[in-house]
This record gives sequence, C-alpha cells and structure tokens, in this order.
Amino acid sequence: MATELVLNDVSKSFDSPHGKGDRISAVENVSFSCHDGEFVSIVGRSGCGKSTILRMIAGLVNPTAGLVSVDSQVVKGPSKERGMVFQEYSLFPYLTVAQNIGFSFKMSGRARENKAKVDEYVRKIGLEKFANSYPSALSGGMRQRVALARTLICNPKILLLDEPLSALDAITRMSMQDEILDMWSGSGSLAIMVTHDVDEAVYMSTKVILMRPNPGRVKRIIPIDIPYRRRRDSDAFVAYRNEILNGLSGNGS
Amino acid sequence: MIRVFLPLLGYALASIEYFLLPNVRENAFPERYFIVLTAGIVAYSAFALFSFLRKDKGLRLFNRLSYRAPIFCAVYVFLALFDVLTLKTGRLTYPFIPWFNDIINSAVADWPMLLKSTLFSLRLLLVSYVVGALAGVATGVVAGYSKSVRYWIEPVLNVLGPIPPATWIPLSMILAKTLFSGSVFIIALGVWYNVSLSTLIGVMNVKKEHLDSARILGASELQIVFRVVIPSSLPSIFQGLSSGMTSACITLIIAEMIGVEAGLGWYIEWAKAWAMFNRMYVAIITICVLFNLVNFTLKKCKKHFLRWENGN
Ligand SMILES: Nc1ncnc2c1ncn2[C@@H]1O[C@H](COP(=O)(O)OP(=O)(O)OP(=O)(O)O)[C@@H](O)[C@H]1O
Ligand SMILES: [Mg+2]
Repeated sequence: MATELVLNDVSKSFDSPHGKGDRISAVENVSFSCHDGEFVSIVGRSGCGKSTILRMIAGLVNPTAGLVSVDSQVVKGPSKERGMVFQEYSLFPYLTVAQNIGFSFKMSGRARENKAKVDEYVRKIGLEKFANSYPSALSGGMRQRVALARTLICNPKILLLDEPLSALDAITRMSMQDEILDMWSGSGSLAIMVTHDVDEAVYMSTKVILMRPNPGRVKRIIPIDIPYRRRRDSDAFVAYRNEILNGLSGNGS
Repeated sequence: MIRVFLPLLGYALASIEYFLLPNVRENAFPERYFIVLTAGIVAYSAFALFSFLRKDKGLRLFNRLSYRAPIFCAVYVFLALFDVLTLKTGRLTYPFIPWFNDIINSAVADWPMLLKSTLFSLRLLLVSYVVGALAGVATGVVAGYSKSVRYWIEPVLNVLGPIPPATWIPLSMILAKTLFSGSVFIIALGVWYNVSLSTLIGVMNVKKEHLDSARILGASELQIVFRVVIPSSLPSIFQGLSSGMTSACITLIIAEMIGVEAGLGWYIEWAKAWAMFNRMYVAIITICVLFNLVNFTLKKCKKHFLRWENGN
C-alpha cells in the first residue's frame, strides 16, 4: 500500500504565445521524492511553475524532459489514483452536489451500485441538505468541500491541491485547513498542495518545497517538525515561518 | 388588490360600447365578437380565482396577475376604441381596416384553409429549426475542438454573418428539388449560423479546470464532449438558439411570401391579391400568436435547461 512519488530531473517548457518558435521554460531540473503519510506544500512566487508541477504529477501534461513516476511506474496520463482539487471552478455547475460527487462513478457506468457511497460522502462533508442543490447555491467553502469529496471518493493514492483555499475568507480558510488535515490523516495518503500562504504551509505540511522563478527550480526543501494540531503562535511555528519567508524573499540561489 | 378587478371594467366598457352605439355598416353574426370578449374575461377571472384560492403557491401567480391587470384592461379599452373608429364611425376606412367582428367572421368562414396554413408554417419552422440547430451545435463543437476545422469554418461564418438568409431564397427556388426542401435549407442556414457561432464561443470558453477534472475522474473523450463540453456551453448555445429562432421566423415568412405556395406568409399575400383584407388580418394575428407561442416555449426550455445557473 506504500506510495512513492519521484520527480527525476523534470523540466517543462511551453511554446511562447508570441510564436516564432520561442519556448518558455516553466520548470527546470526539478527533482524530489515523497511518500504516503506526507503532506507536502509547494510555495513560491507567481509563475514559478507550481501548477505545472502538479499538472505533470496528475498526468495532465507530460514533462519535456525527465520522468515523473509513482511506485516505479512512469506517469503517462491522468488517473483516479492521482486526484486533484483546483482553486475555483472545478465543480460542474450544471450538476447537483450529489451528481458532482458521483461523477467518476457515472463515467465508469457504476453510478447505481455506488449511490450509498455518494450519500456517505455528502454526509461526511455535512451537506445533506444541499445534496440536490447546484454549486451556484453554495458558498465558496462548501464548493471546495464538494470538490474534495468528489476527489476523495476515488480513494486516490496522491491528493493534489492547487491553491484549494485561496478563494476563501480567512475564517473559512482556517477551518477548512483542519478539515483537509483530518481527511488526509484519516486516509494516510500523500498530499501535495500549492499555496501562497506561508502560514498555511507551516500549519499543514510535513515538508515545504520552496521554489524560485525564471525558470522554476526547487530552491530548498524544509521539513516541518512540529506535532499536529499546531499552534500558530508557538515559537517553533514562527521560526519556520520566518525561515520560509526569508527563503522566498532572498535573491541568492 | 383592487386593481385585479380592472379588466372587468374594461370588459364592461367594451361590451357596452359594442352593443349600445349604432353601427355604420352591416355587422353579421354580432354575437361572435362578444363571445371572444367574454371568453377572455372568463379565462382571466378563472385564473385569478384559482390562484387566489390556492394560497401559498397560487399567491405568487395572483400577485403577478394583479400586477398585469391594467394591461389586460388596456387591451379591452383598445378594442373598444378600435371598434368605435371602425364599425361605429367609419373613421378608419373599410375594407382596408375592418372591425374586429368582421375579422372574426372571416376567420370562421375560412378556418380549414387557415388551419392548414398554420400547420404548414409550424412544420416548416420546426423542421428547419431542428435541422439548423443540430447542425449548428455539431459544427460549433467540432470547430471548437479542432484548430484546423476552425481555420476553415471561421471565414465562412464571417462572410455569411452580415448576409440575411432571405437573400438566398430566390436562388434556392431555382436549385432545390422541392420548394419545401429549398426553404428548409435557407431557414436552417440562418439558424445554423447563429447556433454554430454561439456554440463555438461556448466551447472555446469551457473552463480548463472542468476538462482537467473530468479527465482525472475517468471521463473518456466522448464523455467529455457530451457530459462536460456541451453542458458547459449551454448558456452560450441558448443565446444562439434564441437569435436563431428570430432569424428563422423572419426567413420563414419571407420564403412563404415570395415562393412557397403555402403557409401563413403565403396566405397574407394571397388574401391581399384578392383584396380580402379581413383575411389578411386573420393571418397576421395568427402569426403573432404562433410566433409568440414558439418563443415562449423556447424560453421555458431555456429556463429548464439552465436552472443550475442561479441558485436553487
Ligand atoms: N499551457 C501553457 N502554455 C504556455 N505557457 C504556460 C502554460 N502553462 C503555464 N505556462 C507558463 O509557465 C509558467 C509557470 O506557470 P504555472 O502556472 O505553473 O505557475 P504557478 O507557479 O502556478 O503560478 P501561480 O502562482 O500564478 O499560479 C508561467 O510563465 C506560465 O506563463
Ligand atoms: Mg498556479
């Protein structure tokens, strides 16, 4: 059941939107590995290739060079084993909460036998009353809970989170951080989250990957060694936060 | 609340005017106009009473009805005025502008032909519309997906855009095997143009997150088209369906007037040629009712299929 994710010297470049055969290098020579039971955060300035890394792990895009592998199998395309939650707009607005959560079963033609499981997940996120509502009737926090449930119902080995809480207000955000941690520790899987919020990274992660831009490279990997539930005002917490902030603002490589 | 009774007042006014003032012309079957007036007010009252008695859900309907009551009243006032200007004083000259009972009489006299024409128009409209809409959605989806199809289709849409479909009617009369299929082609062309364009825009604007989520959740390419791309594009597609319907109605009437020897458009031309102006009015009123019904149905469909757009 152990899961090991390895990125081996991964680079990705895109055709420049301005044409003329120019290439934009999104990430270069990124290597790291992590395994189940870890909660990894990726932080770095805008445009340093964080989303690109998640999308390569998900199998939505292929690296230009290097390999992404899970348990020694090279990732070649998307799979339910690597679920992903996006910042916004990932729910299908024309499907109800229950239909969104059951989407993967519908696609595999096994909607009927999994109806009870869908109900269970609707209950898990506390949205029984909204099971038949459309996403437009939900608050931002509720929508992200549905997006999480829709992904977790597939029992993914790896949970990819691309700024999942960025669109939420501060209070909802903090309670959602705990909810995500509960779901993650319950499943014991590997979670990889992109965030812009350093506090969030320190609060949630077992390991923080710092990136630097132009082109996107891994700058440092900082293990966070504080037991959960963490206190945001403890000395250790503040020390980690300052270390990451310094790492982000420093120019040296 | 009192305003809900206004239409009764209008009804009384129209009836009294109709029966008390002397006619300047011979008015056959005078009771028919009165029956129509009465049918209107009976339907209105039944609706009002029914919604009033059904409290909770009915109350909203009742409020809407009483909000619109002055408009219903105005219809009766308009009919009364029109009757004064035509039948009672002859200010508006017969036979170019007949009075209402005369229009009703000619409708009753010619109802089989009228029904035939209405059904013909409705059939031509619906067949063309469905053909054009399906072709439009297909074109829009394929063009939205494939860059090379888009490369070829875009100039076609751009060049066709400013040309009214009716321009091609005479040509289609010459080239098509039957007048019906020729008209279907031209009417469908306008629908196709509108729906292709709006579908293309919708497909191009499908959120990347939706496509990515669907792929991760195990959707096949075909499932992505039918379960993600098309439903996500529905708001845009419906815009094209609405403007396509407008285009179809315009083209339909023109096609019937200049070539197809059937349908309500033809009926108007035919009545005009024989100087049976009252029948012309009948056809015009029928077109008003028919097109409003068709558009009302489309609106209801839109509301149903886009019910997810604003809360629930
Ligand atoms: N599909 C694409 N085509 C062209 N360029 C792309 C594409 N996707 C990403 N890029 C480029 O790659 C670089 C990295 O993008 P990426 O979205 O991974 O950054 P990010 O770290 O997630 O940024 P943000 O914090 O703003 O989300 C950017 O310069 C971006 O313009
Ligand atoms: Mg990003």
